[in-house]
Amino acid sequence: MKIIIETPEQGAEDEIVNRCAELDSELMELIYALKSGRSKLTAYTEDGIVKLSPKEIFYFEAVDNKVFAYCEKSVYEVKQKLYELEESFANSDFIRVGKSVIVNVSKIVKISPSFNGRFEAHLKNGEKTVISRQYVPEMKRKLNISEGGR
Amino acid sequence: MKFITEFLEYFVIITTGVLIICAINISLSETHGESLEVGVTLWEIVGAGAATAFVTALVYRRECNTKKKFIAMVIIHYILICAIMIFMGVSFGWMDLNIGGIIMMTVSVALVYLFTYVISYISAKHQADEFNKALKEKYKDK
Repeated sequence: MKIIIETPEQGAEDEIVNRCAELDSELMELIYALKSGRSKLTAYTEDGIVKLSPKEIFYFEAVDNKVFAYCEKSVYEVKQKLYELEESFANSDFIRVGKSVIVNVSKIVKISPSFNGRFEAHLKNGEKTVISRQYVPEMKRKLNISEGGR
Repeated sequence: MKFITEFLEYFVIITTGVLIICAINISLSETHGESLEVGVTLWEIVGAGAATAFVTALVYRRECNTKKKFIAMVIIHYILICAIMIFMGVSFGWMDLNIGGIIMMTVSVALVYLFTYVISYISAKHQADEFNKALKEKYKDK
């Protein structure tokens, strides 16, 4: 893909124009990354409210009707439902890996096999999360792996 | 649809397992399966494979987040499969209904369990390697 950077006329607003034959998933992720790079998620702790960049979040987990965002060392509560987060982050590195977990794929160091068709995702902060059997095809799609292999 | 796909996946592996169980138990039974008809027995194996695959697909539909829950699910599943296999084994004449027959059936189900686990693990290991390769490629710059 060719990248052209032009200086706008004085006083004109900065803009990004994308000319493409097809808006594929890679491009969608790039557009999303540009948009979400600026948007922050409101999260809550006992000490107050913080704004989290999606890049800081390792995974979301729903526990007892509450949703938590897990960062490298800290945990925050978020007010969105898990399905709302799934929709908001649909074209990003986030992917649903279980009934109650959405993981940031860019934070996965490695994936290892577990019992009964499940896998374990080892995260950069040393934590592990289970990838349920039913979400394995989605993970394959995310990583551009065809059903029959690469 | 997902249930049907999972059922068919289990059906192929389990029917192979049932075939092995059936062969072991017939060979070790007192009558050596002399009264069995090949044409009927083959369909009985298919039927037993379908019944156990159906139960397996049903049991493993549940999502277990903890190792404890998963182990409990495996034990329940094993007991159910043994019960089905003993019932079918006795009904179809594959085994004798005595302590020896029951022990032989539970041991052979355990062996098939182990066989299935090893096959699944090898396949999952291959998939995990693919995931890791794709992860490295996708995030090589991060």
